[in-house]
Amino acid sequence: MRLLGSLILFCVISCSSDGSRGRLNVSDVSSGTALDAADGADSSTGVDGGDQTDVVDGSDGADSGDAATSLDSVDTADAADGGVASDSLDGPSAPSGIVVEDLGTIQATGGTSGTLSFTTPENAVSFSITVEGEDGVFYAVDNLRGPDGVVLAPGSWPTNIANQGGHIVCLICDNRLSSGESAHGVLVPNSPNVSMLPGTWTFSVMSFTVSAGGSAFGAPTVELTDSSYDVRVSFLEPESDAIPSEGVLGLNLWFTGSNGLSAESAQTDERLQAAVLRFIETYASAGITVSPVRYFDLDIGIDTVDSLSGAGNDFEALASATAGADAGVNLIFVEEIVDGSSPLSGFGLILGIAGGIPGPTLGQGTGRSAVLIRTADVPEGAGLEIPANLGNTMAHEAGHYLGLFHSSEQALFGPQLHDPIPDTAENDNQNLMHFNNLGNIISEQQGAVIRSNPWVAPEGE
Amino acid sequence: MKLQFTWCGCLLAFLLSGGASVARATIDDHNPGLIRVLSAIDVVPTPAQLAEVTGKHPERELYAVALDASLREYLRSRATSLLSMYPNSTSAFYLEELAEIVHLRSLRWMAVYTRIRAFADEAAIKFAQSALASPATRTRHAVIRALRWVPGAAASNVLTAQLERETDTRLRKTILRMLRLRQ
Repeated sequence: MRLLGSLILFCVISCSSDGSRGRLNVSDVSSGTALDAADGADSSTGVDGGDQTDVVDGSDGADSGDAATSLDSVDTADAADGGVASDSLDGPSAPSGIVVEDLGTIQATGGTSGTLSFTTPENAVSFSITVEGEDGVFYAVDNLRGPDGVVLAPGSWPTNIANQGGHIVCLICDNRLSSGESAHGVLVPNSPNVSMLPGTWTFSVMSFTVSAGGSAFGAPTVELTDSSYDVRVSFLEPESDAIPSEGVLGLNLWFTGSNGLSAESAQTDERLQAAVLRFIETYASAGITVSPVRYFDLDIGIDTVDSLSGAGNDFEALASATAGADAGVNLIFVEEIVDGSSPLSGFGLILGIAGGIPGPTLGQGTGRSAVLIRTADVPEGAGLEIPANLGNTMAHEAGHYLGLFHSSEQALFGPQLHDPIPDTAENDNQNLMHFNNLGNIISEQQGAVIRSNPWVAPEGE
Repeated sequence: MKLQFTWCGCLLAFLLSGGASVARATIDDHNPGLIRVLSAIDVVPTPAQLAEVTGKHPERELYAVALDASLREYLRSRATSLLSMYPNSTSAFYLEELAEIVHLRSLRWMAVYTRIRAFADEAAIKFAQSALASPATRTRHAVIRALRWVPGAAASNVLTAQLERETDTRLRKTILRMLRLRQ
């Protein structure tokens, strides 16, 4: 939440009533308080500190008094061009190729932001939109329209009865996307069928709450709501004008004490290390170097997750505690994950869950800035998911976080769903993103989607 | 579906009779549609979706999976959790049996947790009180986590009473958080 506070601070400075916008480099967003515990010397720094009490106390874990210093020195944007400032704030350590444009804080009434816009540079090959908002409120980008006028996400899709994905996944969107609670990410394009065009793009953001339906078969009720949230857009602008063939992904591993694992013990735990190696090998097959791998303790009194949604939910408490972490995907290891977030009755065990498809980009500490992984204490030989399947689960959920949908869903009720990526074979259970995750194959086009995500720094750029 | 149920009932009788110790069941002995649903790693089926792949008595099919020690732990624990979708006396009986007889700590955790959270009735409170006497920390943890979801003062009272006698520091923190979240 330090980052969120910083962004708000930045917007207060630069996005005043004239609506001017600032542009900042990725390094300003994702770095800051380093929590690198790879050497084991400081595995709990920043986690056991002030944020901890807040989270345990059921708050959102915000640490408003400790904004990331890297943003404090950001200059105000130059609005001399009529309100659309584009100051580049590149720092010396910034990887080139990724640029962030802050669209400011939106005070939405009636559940919609109104029309927002941004302009993609000539050499941009992808962009992502991130919304960071309030607890208990869902967000969804809609009315997404390209420079050529093509609509990639229709207006009000979460309430469109033609959308079989309900308020969660937009199946009627040419660029498939999913809504998110408290934070929301969108990656464009996430399929070769979508064109990335330079020019002005427009979109809006829906904000809504969700409550249970009237019966076990009833649809949940979606109600539009006022909300305040920050919006930013990240562009991938490689020098080569093409999606990079290689990239680097940071990996932050957080240990809650589940299965006896800590930041220190995990670095020598054979089963965990085998899973990490599996993760590294999986992403290497897509041209992605996983580095560095950082280890942290996350002792906020939550090692089991049984609420993924709503006030005080476990997911948000854990994900918020990643504030200040270096750039990378946060994997949080917990004992059990029970998903009872469906407004329908009952609940069920799952092996992992991502904070979004994709998760919020280039910001840590939001309520969705993490992937949760189950590591129940099961002896070897009992068919546990360690090592291969734990590694697969880690890679699969990180795949969601980076923008991939299931290559094939289960065939229940009506036509079976598949991802929008043409080169993933249907029902190939060896694909990393198959719903039952038996394999770790990443197709060429899936790899391109992942490398389009701003979390993957273009290598050699 | 009826055929499937009959066959599943036979498997269940086999498992309950102790036959499993002589000749183990295999994954092929279970409803393949159910196994496929249970294999999904990050999606929870709705009751309607479960109904599509199970017979008239899905509780029995889930219980048969939960009991079968030849299956992956995840399938067994997930089947146990999905009994939450059938909060009837049969499921309650199965869950109490599982909590009593299974050896896997994670599976026992899920059985205790599901028995309490899914039913949230007077019997669940009594079961919770009994389970809190367990010397196993994880069993008490399951109770404490589940009681968060049980409405009414009785659940709060059980948590408060446990706070007074609980010696495990982490569990005490968990109780405090559960009490706070119940408010």
